[in-house]
Amino acid sequence: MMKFKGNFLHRPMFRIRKQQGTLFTVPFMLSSLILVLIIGCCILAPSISPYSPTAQDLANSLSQPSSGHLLGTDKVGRDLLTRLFYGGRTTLLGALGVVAFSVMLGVPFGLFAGYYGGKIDAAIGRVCDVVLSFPSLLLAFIFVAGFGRGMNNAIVALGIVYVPMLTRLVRSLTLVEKNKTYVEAAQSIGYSDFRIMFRHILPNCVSTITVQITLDMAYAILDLAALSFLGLGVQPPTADWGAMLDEGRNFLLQTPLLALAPGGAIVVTVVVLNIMSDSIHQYLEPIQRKLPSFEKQERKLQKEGVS
Amino acid sequence: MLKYVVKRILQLIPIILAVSVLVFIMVRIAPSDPIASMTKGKQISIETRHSLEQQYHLDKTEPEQYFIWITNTLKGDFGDSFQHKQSVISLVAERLPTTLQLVLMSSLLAIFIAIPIGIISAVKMNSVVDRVLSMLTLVFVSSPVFLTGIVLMLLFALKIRVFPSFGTGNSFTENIYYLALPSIALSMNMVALISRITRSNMIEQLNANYATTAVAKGTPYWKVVLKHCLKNAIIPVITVTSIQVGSMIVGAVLVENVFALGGLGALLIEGIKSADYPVVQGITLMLVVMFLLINLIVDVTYALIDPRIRL
Amino acid sequence: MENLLEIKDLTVDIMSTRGIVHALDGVDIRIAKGEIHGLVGESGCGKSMTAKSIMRLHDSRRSRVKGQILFQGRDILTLTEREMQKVRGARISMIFQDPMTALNPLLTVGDQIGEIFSGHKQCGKKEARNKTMEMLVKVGINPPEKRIDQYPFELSGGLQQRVMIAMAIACSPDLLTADEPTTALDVTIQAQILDLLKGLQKEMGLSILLITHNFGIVAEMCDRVSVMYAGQVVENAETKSIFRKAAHPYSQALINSIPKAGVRGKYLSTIPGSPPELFNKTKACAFAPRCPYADRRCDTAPTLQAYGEEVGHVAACHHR
Repeated sequence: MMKFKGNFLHRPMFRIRKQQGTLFTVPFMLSSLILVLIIGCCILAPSISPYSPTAQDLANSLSQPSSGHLLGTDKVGRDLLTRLFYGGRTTLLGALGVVAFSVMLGVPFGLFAGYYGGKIDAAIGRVCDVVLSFPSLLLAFIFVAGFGRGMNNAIVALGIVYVPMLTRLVRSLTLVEKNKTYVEAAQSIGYSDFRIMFRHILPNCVSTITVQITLDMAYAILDLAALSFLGLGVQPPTADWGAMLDEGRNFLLQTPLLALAPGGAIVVTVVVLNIMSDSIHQYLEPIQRKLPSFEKQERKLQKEGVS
Repeated sequence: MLKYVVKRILQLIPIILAVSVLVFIMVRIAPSDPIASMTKGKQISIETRHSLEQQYHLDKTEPEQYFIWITNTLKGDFGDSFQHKQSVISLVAERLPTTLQLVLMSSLLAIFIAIPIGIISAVKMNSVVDRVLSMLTLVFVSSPVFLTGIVLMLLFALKIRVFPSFGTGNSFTENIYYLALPSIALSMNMVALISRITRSNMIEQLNANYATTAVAKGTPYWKVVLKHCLKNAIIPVITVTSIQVGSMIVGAVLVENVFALGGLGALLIEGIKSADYPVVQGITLMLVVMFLLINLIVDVTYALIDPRIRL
Repeated sequence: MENLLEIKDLTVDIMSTRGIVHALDGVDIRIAKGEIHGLVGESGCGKSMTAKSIMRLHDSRRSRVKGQILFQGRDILTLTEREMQKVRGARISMIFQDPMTALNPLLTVGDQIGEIFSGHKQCGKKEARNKTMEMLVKVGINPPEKRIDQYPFELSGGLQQRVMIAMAIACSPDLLTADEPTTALDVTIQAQILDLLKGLQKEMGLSILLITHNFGIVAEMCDRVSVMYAGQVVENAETKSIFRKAAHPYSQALINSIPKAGVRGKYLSTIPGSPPELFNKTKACAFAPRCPYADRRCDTAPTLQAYGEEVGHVAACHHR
């Protein structure tokens, strides 16, 4: 029989290359930048803009863009750009509220359902079934009908609507994680179920949940805008992108910007959130990632070799 | 198969009952006054108020009201609208055709545009074509339907007057013209969603082993794509499409609002704003049943496509 | 003997998420008419890539192929996609490792085999079905009338692989590439499938390129064998001659790792370490890090040199 010496490790001939690709790709960085810019404008609105979002100036109503009013004014002479900033506050905070609400309910429900299974799983599952038997917007309508119109109620309504999807996602992730050895190990040490779920299982699901949350944020902006557009969400004179779009469309021919500017703000924000969600997803699952060409890769290798 | 369908319908009954209770409660806890909506806000005497309450059973306890409503509904009587003094059924019958035609046109449009786009993007993955299409669908998936509607209206009804900016025609065919812009607006979201799902599923299937086998047999590539892979990729696409069609019935309300189309959605929103209990309850229940039935039909189609699913 | 297939200096680079993989590095293989040629090595050594290259199945956007693959005197790598379609399935066909995933789950057995007849022979539906039936009988699937309308998931692994074989031999090809055709199957089924392949080879005069990591299968089936390591052929010989005296330490190690009946109380020999990841090309012998004989000389890569008394026995090792 042949004997082998254990000398196969000492020659570093084949360097093991680390996974190529990073989360911080150009589209991701660009969209983060835009998002930061939008959020920044909304937060700093009072200091950037000399106007009030609600003060009327009837002499200046429906004016075209000028150096005084960069995007013009609306029906009662309010500065459009200012209202856009303040409207962003309402819309983005609202969407954040929706997502926060759904995470606060959806994540624990999903963990419980997946971890305990049995009756708890069945009960949570039935509740989700009922909620999911509504087209999502319809359920939001019904909740708004019950709680009354207004921003806060719209947020709670949409928050509830978003719970079941998140619950199901977390449940399926938990089912996978539950059978892994580290959970068994934690159980054998005698950690409480609560600790295992939130300190051990949850952190391992966070990346996938993040993708979902970013996407939900985008949907929440769209759905909130829809509710405000129909007059079920934000009530005037509060500035909000959806409500502004609704007001602005009455002046579509004279001053199309009144409708198009808030509309554009919604689209840009949602596109940016979608790109970020996609980037995180692709980073986590590199199968669909675009690969560099041979020439590009070889040039890069040469450069590395020189430096 | 039939046994399965019956079983599924039986399973739906408790869900529909739960939905009806939920809707009933939600409508009742609303802060607005139903009597005010009947009288359109006019001052009325206590006596008239009482007689109105009696007429619509509002003087009874909530469980009694629910029981009356649900038994009548099961008999096919959804009650009378507070506001319109007309039966909910006849109100719905007036509005439903517009909404259904709108949803039908949008769905067909979406499916016939989205699936080819998804297939092309998948086959040409990461190429320029794919990138442009991905960018376009991304913008459309991010654009609220009412915005798309408004922009289309501005471009094709107000600036270039090719389509009417509001209203409906008198017949199905005339409506095709009137509903063209609204359908496009409503379908854009769906086009984006379906093409993205189609793309990612097709990419997965194109990389599957059986696709390699098919190529190794000497099957032309287009046939591998359209015969072998598409069939495998289509099930998730159908799922998303069905959910989308269901949501569209409600999403139509936004487009109806933009183009002043007086469909089912407009009726519902109006009912919500004015605490018109029978209208809100009736329409919601009908929509939920429709939504659930679409899902059921979809599950049956799965079994037709995939022999591994036995009903 | 006349060469059916001649692979000359085949080099394949694959772009992966982790960089360029030099999957094949100057591979030379000759397969004679009517020969069963074994291709042996650990996973990741380039066996499957060689087979894929013969069929031109690699993703053209992710790979770069150099060299020549002469099939009946024509270079496959220069054919147009349409010409290639006529070769695939008709002149060269392939069987894959895992029949479960290699068959389309949503098409019946009849659809999948019949597609070859309608594609390559322009058969009508009826004729394709009759021929499919014949093929099923030929590969020992009974009763064919029942099986032809079944879906892959209704068949056992062994039957699925028989279906794959039926597809592969449907147009009586000249070369059959079998990529680990029995690895995913039960041991008892493995022998049946190998017997079937051998029988068909004799009956139809096929050449078979049999890819395996198991020298036991080589001993039973193959006329010649090429041993691959790290994207290169390190030894090529007639089966008897390599079993008499293998030249390359890697071949020796593989042969020694076959369990032998009647030998007890002895550990099976293993090869320490694992095959290199092929991101960087090296000037040294790729096997050196795992080789018991490695010394100074191994810092330069050896080339294939004649070895022993047998004609056509070559190996790439300084210590042969």
